Amino acid sequence: METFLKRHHLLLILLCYFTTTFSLFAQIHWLIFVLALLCIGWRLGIYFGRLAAPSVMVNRLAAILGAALLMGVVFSQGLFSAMMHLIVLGYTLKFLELSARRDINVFICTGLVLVAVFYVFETSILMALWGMVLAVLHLALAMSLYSAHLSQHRQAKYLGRLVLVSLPLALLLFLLLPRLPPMWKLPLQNQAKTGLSDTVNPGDIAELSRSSELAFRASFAAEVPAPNERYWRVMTLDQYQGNQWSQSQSIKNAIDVAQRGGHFNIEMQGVMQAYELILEPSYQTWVPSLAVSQGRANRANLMANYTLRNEIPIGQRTMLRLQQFADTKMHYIDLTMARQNTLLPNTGNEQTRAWAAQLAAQSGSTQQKINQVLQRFTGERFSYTLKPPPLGPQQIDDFLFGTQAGFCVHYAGSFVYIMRLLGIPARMVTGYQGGEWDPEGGFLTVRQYDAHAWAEVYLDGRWQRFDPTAFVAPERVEQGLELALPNEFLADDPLSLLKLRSNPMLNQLYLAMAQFDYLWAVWVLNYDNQKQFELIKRWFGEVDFFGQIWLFIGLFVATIVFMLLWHLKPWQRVRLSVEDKLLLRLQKRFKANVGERQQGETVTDYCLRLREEADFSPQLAAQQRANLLKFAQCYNALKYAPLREQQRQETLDQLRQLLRGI
Amino acid sequence: MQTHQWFSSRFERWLQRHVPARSHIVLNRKNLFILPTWFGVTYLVTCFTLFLLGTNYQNNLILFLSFLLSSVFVSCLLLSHKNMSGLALEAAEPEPQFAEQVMAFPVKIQHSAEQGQFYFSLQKQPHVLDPVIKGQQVVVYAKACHRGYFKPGRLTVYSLFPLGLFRVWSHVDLGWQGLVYPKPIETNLVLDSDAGDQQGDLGRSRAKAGFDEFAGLKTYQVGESLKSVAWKQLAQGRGWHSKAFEQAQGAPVWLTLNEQTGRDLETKLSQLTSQVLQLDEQNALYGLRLSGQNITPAQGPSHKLACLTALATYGLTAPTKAGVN
Amino acid sequence: MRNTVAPILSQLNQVVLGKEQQVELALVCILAGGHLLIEDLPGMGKTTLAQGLATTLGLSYHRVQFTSDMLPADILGVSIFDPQQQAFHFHKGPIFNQVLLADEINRASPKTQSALLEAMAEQQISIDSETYALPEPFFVIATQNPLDQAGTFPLPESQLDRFMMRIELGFPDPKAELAMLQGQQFSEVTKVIDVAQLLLMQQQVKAVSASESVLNYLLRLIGHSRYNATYPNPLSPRCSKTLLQAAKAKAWVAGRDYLLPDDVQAVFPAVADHRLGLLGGPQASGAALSETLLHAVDPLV
Repeated sequence: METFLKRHHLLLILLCYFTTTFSLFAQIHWLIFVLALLCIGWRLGIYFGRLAAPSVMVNRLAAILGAALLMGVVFSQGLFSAMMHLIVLGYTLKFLELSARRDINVFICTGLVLVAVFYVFETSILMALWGMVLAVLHLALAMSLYSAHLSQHRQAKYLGRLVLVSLPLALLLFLLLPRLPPMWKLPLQNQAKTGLSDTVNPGDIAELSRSSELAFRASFAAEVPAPNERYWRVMTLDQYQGNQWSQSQSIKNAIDVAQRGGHFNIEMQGVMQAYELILEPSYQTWVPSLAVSQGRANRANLMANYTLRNEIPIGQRTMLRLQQFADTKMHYIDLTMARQNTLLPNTGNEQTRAWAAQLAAQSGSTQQKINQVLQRFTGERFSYTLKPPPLGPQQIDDFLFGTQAGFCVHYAGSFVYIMRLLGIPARMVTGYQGGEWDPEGGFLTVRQYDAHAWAEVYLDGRWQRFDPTAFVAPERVEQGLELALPNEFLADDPLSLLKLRSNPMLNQLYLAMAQFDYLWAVWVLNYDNQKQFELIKRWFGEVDFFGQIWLFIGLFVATIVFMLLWHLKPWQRVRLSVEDKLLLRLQKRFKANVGERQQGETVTDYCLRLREEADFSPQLAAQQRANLLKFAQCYNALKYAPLREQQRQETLDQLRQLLRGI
Repeated sequence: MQTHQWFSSRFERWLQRHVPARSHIVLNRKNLFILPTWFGVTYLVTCFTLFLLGTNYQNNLILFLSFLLSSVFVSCLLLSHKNMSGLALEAAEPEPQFAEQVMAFPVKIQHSAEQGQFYFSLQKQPHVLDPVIKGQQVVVYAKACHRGYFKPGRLTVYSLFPLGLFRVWSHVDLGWQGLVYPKPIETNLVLDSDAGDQQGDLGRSRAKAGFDEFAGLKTYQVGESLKSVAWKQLAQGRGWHSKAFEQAQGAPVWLTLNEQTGRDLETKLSQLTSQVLQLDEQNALYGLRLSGQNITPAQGPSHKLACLTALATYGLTAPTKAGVN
Repeated sequence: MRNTVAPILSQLNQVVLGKEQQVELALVCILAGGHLLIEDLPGMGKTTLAQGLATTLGLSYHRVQFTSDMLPADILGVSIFDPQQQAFHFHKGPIFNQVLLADEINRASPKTQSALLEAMAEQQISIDSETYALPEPFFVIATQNPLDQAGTFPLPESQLDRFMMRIELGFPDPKAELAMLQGQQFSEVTKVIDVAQLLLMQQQVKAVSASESVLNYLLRLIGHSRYNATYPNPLSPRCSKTLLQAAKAKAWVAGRDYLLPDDVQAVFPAVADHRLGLLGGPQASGAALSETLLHAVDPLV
């Protein structure tokens, strides 16, 4: 019953299983692995003859247990995880019933689906290659099953060739097959959110600044903004509750609307430039943008606070095309918004309140008062640090009049607090500031440590940006965190690759890798219909939609023809020689009359037989009979005699003539 | 049921026209069939699932994987066909066999680029023994039920190479026709054998008694059949002797088929077969008398074969043999 | 050289009436440098044909009637003590002729037959540790009687294999027999060519070109006999070599300097019959087998 399952099959199955499941290690519940060990143990027991194959009962029991496990997972981790576990469970339980080839077939198909699941989580180049390795391993399992007579070495070679030859068609499909929009909504993978969160405590952004993880990359159609203009707005926080900044209910509602596809319609003016973002997965919906931007034909929707929200969480490296404008035509603020942006807890931070009251009492324009507040951050001995001393319950007082050392959130928070005390609508903005420009690759890299917080004040009828950090540590805004805080930068991560960049060679290598990774993200992971058009335009010139379809069909046919030629190698096939073709024609002519050449009959004998048996018209009979004999002679000479080229040509002509004469 | 029969007979006729009987057949695109296996269908469904996944998650890597797997599918289609086409099958004459015995049908296969694994079975015959494949020699087995000419029908040759996604097959008619001797039925009553020549009716008891008569030893002459060597004596060191049997020179025995009397024809033929075998074993001189065909008494293997053939084909006309190129 | 073929054949056909095909085969066999076995009933003209061949081709020949009491020395020769020179002197036997006509070869004992074997294969004989070369060219034309097997020693396969061809003459057709009875006078058998010319002819035969497709056909013929259970005695590589030589000679006689499948087919029964046949079985079975073999393998692929 199991004669087909040889040792190397079992080894290959185990290899497939372990490589695939360990690739999904982080996503799979540990119980699955326990189950896997049990199943594999049983399978090995069967293989070595120690155990009997499990009965149907055991199989069902295992399935029920698995299902129970699944239910637990569904509740704790969401539908996507449950579906994935269902597949992995089937993949695991297959070990119990590898009794026919059919079971291995199912195993292979399940494995291939799991490779796809793996791609949902991992999209880097290395992981993409690894996924291919996994897929090929599964094909190798099929190969070992159905080409068992070949040595393993030859199987591997054959499979390698098979995959290589299939690549052109796959690439063609990938490059030219128009992408369809998502057909229905699938459950999303449940992952821990990364990057900026919806609320900000004074220490939060400092925490984020310890991470050198990629946040996003951007490339610009025209030119890259100056470093101090690279303020990537992510969200506005307009609610202060004494210890943290958060979004008011109205913003939350707006986010909800935006995530459902609602777009804040406001007319923009002064087109500045288009830019593209490649967002790393944050599993959140926010989209960083330069003020003021809106999405171009994508699912990033503008909100009233001029930030963008994507309709689905960014679960994979996603490219978004945005358009930056100089300004909006009209600046919107309503009463609720004005009220919300001046709202503060009624008590607390008395020292600050007193100082604000004093400030308010002074004469002068609002602008002057703002400047005065900002001057305070430079004038006094404030320091910029990632590790500020802890603050007491009176946060603002403690910071302004006590520790006087803090990170961007401290400065922005205090500034907004004072503004509100002065009755000026103000809000905190979190996002990223700066980024590293790679002139060769033409893209800006923004990492988590570029996370920043600043303030916006409604002044002169529009929201204006004020960054108090720029006053205490201008180098942070101009040159980035690394130069602003050389001692504290990535202090927890001494081995970070970024720190080794002082070595020019390593730096070169790092940059090359980053560029390659960027290209990968742009041209592979986010290769979409628009990129398709760009590509076709570059290669084939302007092509309209139908042109694209024809192009696709044409190239598709060409690739299939290429594969056909490659596989069938018609030039290597033995062709019928001309004389044989002529003979076939002769046979066809006499098929009805005399019949075909018998097996074992030589051409001479056949012609002699024709001479005897065929019906000829009486007046031509003699001539034709003679021709038949000559035909045999010429045929034999052509086929068997060593002729020179010229002789051959002459005889061939003669043969043709004879055939006509018969 | 009826429609099924109708289809199968239509298919049979179609096959007859497109894959006619020949002892030497080269498989090509005209006589090969190809369809995805269940695995192939499952695989294709998997590819489609991946396509849906990739589209819905807008994940290009999954899409590429789906495209690659589909391309591999297309490649397999071409490769599995290429693997089979060009396979040359050449039938060899099967050796005659007794009825209800397993008959061996040998085929020689030849392939230019040998890489595929081929499976063989007889399309219409129940499976009796697994085919034996040894290098270029393949032997398939079928059980012959009745005496006469046995046509095992079409040979199905198929391959799942390389990934089992496609089954490429052909039903080839190699024009096999085996000769089946009647099944020997032992009989104590030597019903229709009589001793002596045509006129004499000397009774069968004498005839039987004479077969085994050992006449003694004579000096072995080089060139004599090794069967007759007295090995026992040779082993005892008494030199080369050969055994001589009296009856060999004695009166020939006639086996006669009497159609009028007694049991049915087949049983009688079977009994005659058994007697031919017995007589041959005893190295007797015997002849066979069937209505319309007489085989004069003789002995030896070729005589035995002639008698058995006559018994096998008694009352049958030899079907025409296919073999036209 | 080829213009001498016609006179040779016409002279031989006058000696053996109405057997054009067999006569040509016999000549082909000699031109291909092979030994010939003629098998038929007594009085069919076997010996006449052999004699005629030898004379026409200008070869020295000796006829030996084989009998069961014959010893190898009777064919090979003996060393006789010469009292005057006080030494053994070798007296050459009848084998030291260009053509040895071995009449009724199956009557001789196996020992004598095998003495002939070495001579046929190696074209030399060894007696008393001395090796004597046989004349060039050297042919054995043997005859045997298929019936009347009493007291005969059938040639073993190994020896049969040494003969390039075995031909049967068969009864002449009535017309030819009538001509014979009428006592149609034919001229004396005379020498048409000499040995040097014969050797030259043999060289030309070797130079006949065989294309790959013919060789392929030949190989398929041989191969078919090897794996097919119908053929109890598969054909040997020696047989394939012999077949090629014979076919070449046939092509040459037909006036071509390239080989056709027709040539192979023409010589095939004569070359293969005696090798395919079952030893001890009816002789006709070999002929039937070679017939089926020719039908089973197609010259074109």
